[in-house]
Parts: sequence; structure tokens; C-alpha cells
Amino acid sequence: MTDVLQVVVSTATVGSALALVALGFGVVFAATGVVNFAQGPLLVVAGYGAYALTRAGLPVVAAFPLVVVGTAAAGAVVELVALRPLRRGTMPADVGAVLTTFAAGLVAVDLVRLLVDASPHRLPPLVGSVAGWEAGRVAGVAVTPADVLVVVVTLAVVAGADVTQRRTAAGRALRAVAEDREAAALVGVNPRAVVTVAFAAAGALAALAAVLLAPRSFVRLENGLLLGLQGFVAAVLGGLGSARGALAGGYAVAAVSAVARTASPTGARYEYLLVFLLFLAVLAVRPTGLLGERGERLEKA
Amino acid sequence: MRPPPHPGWPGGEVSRRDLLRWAGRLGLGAAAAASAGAGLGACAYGDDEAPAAGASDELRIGVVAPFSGIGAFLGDIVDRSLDAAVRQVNGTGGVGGRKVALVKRDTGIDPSAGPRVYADLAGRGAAGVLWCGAAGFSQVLPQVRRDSMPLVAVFNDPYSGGQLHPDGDGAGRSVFQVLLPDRFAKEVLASYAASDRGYRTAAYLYDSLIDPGATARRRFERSFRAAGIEITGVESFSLLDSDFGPQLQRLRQGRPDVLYVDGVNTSTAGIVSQLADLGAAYVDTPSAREGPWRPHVFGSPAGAGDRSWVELAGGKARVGTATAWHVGGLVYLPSFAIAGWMRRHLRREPTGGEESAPDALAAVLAGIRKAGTTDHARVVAGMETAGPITFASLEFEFTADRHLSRTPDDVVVLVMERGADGPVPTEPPYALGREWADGEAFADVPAGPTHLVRPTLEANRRAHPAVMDQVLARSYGTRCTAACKVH
Repeated sequence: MTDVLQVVVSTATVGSALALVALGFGVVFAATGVVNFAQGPLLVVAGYGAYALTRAGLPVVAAFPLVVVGTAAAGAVVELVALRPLRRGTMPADVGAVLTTFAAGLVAVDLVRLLVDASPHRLPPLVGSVAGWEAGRVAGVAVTPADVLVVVVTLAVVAGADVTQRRTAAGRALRAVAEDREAAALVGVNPRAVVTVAFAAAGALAALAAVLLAPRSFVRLENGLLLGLQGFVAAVLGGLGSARGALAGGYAVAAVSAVARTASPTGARYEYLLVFLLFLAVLAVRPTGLLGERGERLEKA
Repeated sequence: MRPPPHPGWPGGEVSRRDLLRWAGRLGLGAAAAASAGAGLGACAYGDDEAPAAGASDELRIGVVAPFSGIGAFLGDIVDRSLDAAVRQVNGTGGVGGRKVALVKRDTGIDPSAGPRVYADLAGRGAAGVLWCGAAGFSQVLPQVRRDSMPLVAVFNDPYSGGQLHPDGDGAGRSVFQVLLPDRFAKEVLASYAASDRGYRTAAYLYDSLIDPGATARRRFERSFRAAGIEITGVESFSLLDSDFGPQLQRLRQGRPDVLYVDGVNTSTAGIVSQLADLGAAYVDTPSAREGPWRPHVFGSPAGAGDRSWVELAGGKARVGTATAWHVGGLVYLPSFAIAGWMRRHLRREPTGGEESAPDALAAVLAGIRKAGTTDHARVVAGMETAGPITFASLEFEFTADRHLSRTPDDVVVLVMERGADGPVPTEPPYALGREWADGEAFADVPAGPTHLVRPTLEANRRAHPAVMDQVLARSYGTRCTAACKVH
């Protein structure tokens, strides 16, 4: 029972953060058809931004909205410097964007290293205790307010993103731009603004993930690579561009990792191998991902 | 009716083949970009690179350290300590009238960058190399052996792997080591656990990414079994893991007296935090062994020897976490030069570990002085015959039969004495070390390692009587003499 519950808790907490990262990949992909490899580094920008503000004396609760806005702006800058110039050239954007967004991410992490530092740091949790409760145990498994918060926020954000994508004018505009930019423009949608907003939203999601997961993973430069890669795998596994798919992918990746470590003392050595095997297996059977829409067109930006 | 063809996707639909091809292209592109990024990252950190001209008027010493990435805290220590040491050396005449110039290189987390970086340093005429915990050490040894390059392992440990001369030939004759071997640390901690604390069981939690061959794990098992301690569980985690719940659940079943955490500072902090969340908070008293599970946490020097893990764990760091270091690492002692150099040249206080890289530098420079040349083989011979060296901290010596600067008698056990919230009440009560008193070195430091000298005192006194007399006379560490038992 304890083992099962531990897997559930580990999956829920880590998987929720991965789902937020995956959603960030998905939002950009839904609008542009490209994969934004700066998504992982945006986590680093957000984390160190939050650390810098708290180091300057701002409570983390006050720093949080500033970090969200700041990282959203950083996301928009990534679009401006890494994607927009490609549309003026002849290189297909989906290929070029791999390199340019990756390069933008490298630059972002280096700027963080130069402007803040390269050391890992602790960030106070957004919610340290609730009515005096700091950590509880359910059948011997530890659950903290920070764990509960990351799960609740993720479910709310994914639900909101799903509703927005499917049932609002903004969601229709996003899909229209991805389907056919010119046609979308003809019906009054501003493609450039939609794409910029998508990148900004991805930045905001990265900030959310970074701050919510910080109590477990701290703020460190390596989070960009690890969480970014895992988030990308989760996004593709679940279905790029799908909010529900991001959630499913995040939980799938976290579950495999948790089961591997629970099943065997040496499970940590194989957890990432198992994740990638699952990734390949799912794509071989269902190329659009677990919850990706069949026949979805992938529009080049 | 089929949808009209899309310019990018013939047929208008995404076929499985298309998606896999696209994903493959992305993967290859990402891999290529990652390699390019790693390659760029492994290039010059080198803002201290010496000018190309005038090779004869300076001595170039290569420094390879993790200046970026997860080991960057080591790179920071190396950077500032060598900065102070080189200013000191050059300010007092250099070596035979020649200034010392450091050529710094970073391998990040990429082991394959090691040979490339080494080749660069050798091509630039480095007279010696200090390898300070950077990735790629094993990969570079064949080249070092070929060139007989004088190389000092500052934060790498060929000795524990049986590679250091004369115990093994894996590293070659030109490699020396100043790092306290992990083997010594584990043996002393095992002895401390069994003899001083009376513990009977232990569990081990280690980083399988840092130790893929489980050699440190085997060392732990040998040392603790030799001390008569039963091993109740061994678990692994990966360097960048943030969830240790499954491993801790399994280890808890054995109720070990000791939990040895072998990882870096972030892993140690994460494990300690999640241990506290499980209600397994521990204090360093015999009474702490009552209750469901309160293991005494032992950390590796890399993970628990630096204050950073305490800052990361915050209020969940607990008094009593033990690790091992060496007498020369008590850098705040007034008789150790490094603290004064850092204050004079950098206006900074040492925090720990700053003695190692400068002492390694001193060994290479002593070899050059003795040899009267920068010829590699002769410098190596010079290092073996230079005699006792006193530079940044403790006196040490290399010989033809000893390429390791530390001995088991140098090992001290460090115990974190005060938590983030102040001293933990223990029964019987004990006094904090003097360095936390008002006006003393650590007065404003919320927590950090100090040394519990009693268990290793006799051996330390045997090896370094003058230094240990100073430690005890000034009550650094516990207010304790050979006669008292702290806990």
C-alpha cells in the first residue's frame, strides 16, 4: 500500500510540473508548428529571477507574479529573436527553429550565470504551511502543502488551457494561425500577435513550473536541460499541442520514473531509459501521441 | 474526400512515417545542437589566459575545473583560492623571477571534453596541470601518461580507485593527488559510527550517475563491514533527481542507525529535506535513536562538507550530519596562510576547500624550482624530491613512493553543530564551538560544518601536533579535550 501511494504521490508532484513544461511546448507548437527548445532554459530564467528577487528582500509570494510577467516577456523575446527572422529567410522554420531556439536558450542560461551566478539555490515555497500543517504523512508517505499546490495549480491551468483551446475565440485564433496564417489574417486574426502571445504564455508556464517545483528541485542551471528534455518528451508523448496531452504525458513520464525507482533499488539507473523506451513505443503505435488529434495538420510558421 | 495537400506535408495528413522522420530530424538537430553547445561550453573559460608572446617570462599552469554546470561551486572555490594564491606568489617575486600565469579551462559536464582541453593546455606550453574535479579525468590519463605531464588531482580521486602511483599504474608516474581519498573518509566514518557512536546498522544512498560502476558503493560496504556494521540497504538515485521518496521508503524498512548519502550538495539537501518530511528528523544524541526512525546522516565530503547543502535544505537541515575532511581543511586557522591571502587580495573569507588548489599549485611550482626547468619528466622528479611543502595550509610532501599528500592521520570528522534555527537542545547539553561566538569567524553564519576532533584526535595529534595544540588551545570546534566525550 505504501509503495503504491508513494508512486501516486511521486507521479502527481513531479508529473504536474512536467505537465506545465509540456504545456509550454504545446502552446507554442499549437500556434506555430515549431518546437521551442528555449522552453527548458526559460525555467532557469524564471527560477533564478525568483531567487534574485527573494535575495533582494522580496517575499516569494510578491516575487512570483513579477517572475511570471518577466519570464513571459522573455518568452516573447525568444520569438522575436529566434523565430521571426526565420520567416524572412528560405530555411524551413521547423528545422531552423530547432537551432535558433536552442541557441537562444543557451544564451539565456549564460546570461543567468553571468548576471546572477551558477550555484544552486533554495527558493522558499509559495505555501510553506496551511493552518500550521507543514508536512503530513498518509500511510507513511510524506505530502507537503507545496506538493498539493503544484498538483492543484497544474490541473487548474491545464483545464483552463483546454477550455481556451477548444471553446474560445482565442483558441480558435491559435488553431487558425497554425492551420493557415494567411487565411487567418484574412479573417481578421493577427498571426504575429498570436504567435508572440503563445511564446509569452509558454514563458509564463515555465515560471509557474519553476517556482512550484523549486521546493523539490531547487533553482539550478541544470533544470533547463533535465526538465526541458523531460517536458519535451512528455509533450510529444501526450500529443504536441494538446493541453490534455501535456497532462497525460507529464504523468506518464513521472509514473514510469517513480515505478522504476519503487520497483528496484537500482531503478534510478534505468528510469530515463525506460522513459525513452515508452516514448518510442507510443510514437511507433500512435505518432500523434497519446491524446494528440489524428490528422492534425502541422503548419510551418 | 481527402483534404488538400499541405505544402509541408504531402497528402495533407501526417503519416506515421512523416512524423517519425520529422521527430528523427528534430532529434538529430537537437543532438547536433547539444554537441555544439557542449563543445562551446567546453572551450575557454580562459579569461586569465596568458598573452601569446613572451613564453619564457611566465610559467603557465593549466587549471581544469567545472566552472559551469552542476559542479560550479567547486569551480568557484578553485577560482578564488588560486586567484589569491597566484597574487601572493607573483607579488613575492614569482618563481625564479618568472610570473605564474594560470590558463583556466572548463569541461562542463562533458567527459569527452577532457582530452580536448588537455591538448589545448599542452599546446599552450603548460608546465603542469591542476585537475580540479572537472569531467574527463579518466579520459585524459592516456595523454598525460604519454606526455609525462605533471598533473595534480585536486578534487579527483585516482587513489581510491587504485590508479595512483605507486599503488597502481593507471594514472601514470606524473600524477599526484591532494584530495583526501574517499577510501580514507569512509574508513574513518565507519570507525566513528561503530566505536564512537555504537551504531550497528547502516544504509547507503548513492548517485548512480556520478558512480556508474558502483566503486564508491563497494568501498562503503567494505569499510562499514570491516567496522562490524551490518548494511541493511543500498539504494541509488540519479544526479538530477528531485524525488527520493521511493528510495527512502525502502531504506526505512531496515531502520538503519546510519544513512550514508553519497552525492553532491543538491542531492544531500533534497534527501535530508524529504527525510524530515517523513518525520525522520534526527539529532545527534543517543536519545535520537528512539522513535520510528531517526538515522544519523553521514554525507560524502562533496555533498556535506560544504555549507551550501545547509543553505539549500533550509530549516530541514539538522545538527549532527557528519562528514569527513582533513586537518589542512580547517582553513580559518590563523596559522594557515590561505585565509590571510584571501582577505588581503580578495577581501573575502574562506568558506572551506580553498586550501587544496593552492597547495597543488605549490607542489608543481616546487617541482619546477627543484628541477630548474619546465621539462615535464624533470618537474615530476622535482616534485618527488622537493621535500616538505608548507604553502596554503598544512605541511605535506610527495616522494617517489608517495604521490598522495594526505594520510589517514589527517582525517577529521566534521559535524554540523548548529541548525538554521539555532542550537538543537540535546541531552546532555553541549557547548557550541568557539568559532560561533560573537566576533568570531562564524558568528554570522547560520550553520556550517565544524569539526568534532575527539574521535580522530590522537591520530591528528600524532601527525600534526603543533596545529592540533592550536586547535584545542583556542577551542575551535567543540569545547572538548581528549578526556571528554561530546555526546
